[in-house]
Parts: sequence; C-alpha cells; structure tokens
Amino acid sequence: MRCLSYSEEGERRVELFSLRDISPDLKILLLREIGFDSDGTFVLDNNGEKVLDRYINEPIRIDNMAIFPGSSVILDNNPLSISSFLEEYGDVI
Amino acid sequence: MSSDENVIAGVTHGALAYTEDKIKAVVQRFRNKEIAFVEDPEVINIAKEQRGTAEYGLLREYSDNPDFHILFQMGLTLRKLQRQQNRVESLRNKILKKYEIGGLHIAQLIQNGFFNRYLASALERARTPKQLRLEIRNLLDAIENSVVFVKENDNVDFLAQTIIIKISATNPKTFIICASGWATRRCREVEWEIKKWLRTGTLRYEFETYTSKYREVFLLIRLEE
Repeated sequence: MRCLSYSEEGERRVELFSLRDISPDLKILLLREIGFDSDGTFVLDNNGEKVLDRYINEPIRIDNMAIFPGSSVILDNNPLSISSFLEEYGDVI
Repeated sequence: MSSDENVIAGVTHGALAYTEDKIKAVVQRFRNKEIAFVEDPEVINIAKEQRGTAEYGLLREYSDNPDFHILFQMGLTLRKLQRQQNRVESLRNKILKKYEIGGLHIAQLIQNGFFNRYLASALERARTPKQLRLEIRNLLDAIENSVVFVKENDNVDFLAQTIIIKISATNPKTFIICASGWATRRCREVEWEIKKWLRTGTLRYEFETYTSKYREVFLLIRLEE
C-alpha cells in the first residue's frame, strides 16, 4: 500500500509505503538494503546491536517500524515517536 | 477500487505482490528520498491531523517549549483514539515513561478539554499576551502543584485536605480540579469542601466552575493584592 502525501500548498511530500502486508523476510531484505539488519524480531545496526527508538528509547520491532529517508531514521511506529519526529524535522512526510 | 478511486483516496494497493526485486526497486526510491516505509500509515496520518488542527495551532501559540508541543499533540491524539482502549493505554504508558506523571497530566488536560476551559478563563484575566504565556508556562511547569484529577474512588475529605495543603504551600496563580465521567460527582463534593475552606479567608482565591454532563472543571484563581 502506498499513501501519497501533500502539503497544504499542494507540494508533493515523501510518499508513505505501508509495510503491513510485506513478509518478514522482505522486511529484513529491505533493512539490509539500507544498512541495517534484523534478528527476525528487532531492527539491528551493523554491529548487531538492537536499534533503539531515539524518542522512547526502546528497541524497534520489525513488525512496527517506520523508516524515514535522508539519514535513514528508524522509529517505532507509535504516535509519540512520530509526533516527536515531526516536531524535530517539520512536516516532511 | 478503480485507479481513479485510488487517486482520490491517495492509496494504492498491491503490497502483497511485492517480491525481492520489487523491494529493491522501492529501496531505490527510498534512497532518492521519495518514499518512507511505515507499518501503519494511519499513525502518521493521525499525527499530522492533530498538528493541523485549529486547537493545536492555538495551543502552540502559547508555548515555545517543544516538549509541551508534543504533549499537546499527545493529548489530542489520546482524544482521537479514545474509543480504542488498547491504543490509549499503550500511548499513555509511553507518555508516562518519557515525560513522567507531569507530562501525562498535561496530555490529559488537553485530551479532556480541561485546558481549553482554563485558557478561556486565563484569556479574560491576562492583560498582555506576554503575561498570558507566562501564566501558562508557570502552570505547565508546575503541573503537579497546580492540577488535580479527581477519580471516582477518591476519598473526598482526604483529597480536599491534600489540595488545601498544596495550595497553602505553593500559593499557585491558578489551581485546577477536574474530573470526567463518573468522577464528576466526586469532584463536586471536593469542590464543596474547598469552597468551605475558602470562606474561612485563609487564602484569597476566587473560583470558576465549568460543568457539563460528563466533565467538571473547578478553577481556583489567586486574587492579587
């Protein structure tokens, strides 16, 4: 599923691609493609350490992650982390 | 759903058909900063929706603190999710873990509309925008000394005494006593005790009450000399 996003001025923003129906194997492939990894449950960094959500300081599960382009910010897909991201980076998505 | 309908809805289905090659192609779009991956786009849409509300725009005007901005958004999100108890509990726990009980209380003030009642009152009293911002900042900074959420099972006498001790000790500009649902009756009983205490003239406060079927807000406002 893809969700198109526009600003109030009609400017195209980053497109949202839902991972809901993507298999765990493909999610792990996706993570590896962008420089991360997984143990099948959590997102790991390239040292094999669990990646923590920067706003709630909790490990990120591959069944509930949000990955934003640019510096590849990976978050837990919950309202607090997402709102904190938008507060820090502005309405980029 | 036709392709026209997909455009109208802003949604395209087809994720089930994704293969390794297609994922790699999508990753290329990610590298080009055209795409973000999310488990559930609704979470992002709800976050953006709250940031776009008039209520949030107004609240944001009165504080420069980014943490308060996030807590305002969390309050509105809690309100939006109120019929989804599991999601509400999960979010409350995350707010509590990050911002402790004070942060959760700020979010709850927004969630229940109590802060709007306070803001209406503060707007009438403030002489300048700067004074209003200062009053709001003082309230939110010291929320544990300025707000009590009455619960259905609270002991009225004990809670009233606790409130009186808090007010006597910190002498806040504004003190908010509030409740929703079944606790509104208990809140009115607490108000009655506080009003009795106010009549002793120990401290000079006036009060305002906002009552609806499911909500009760009792504002105590310090009288200036």
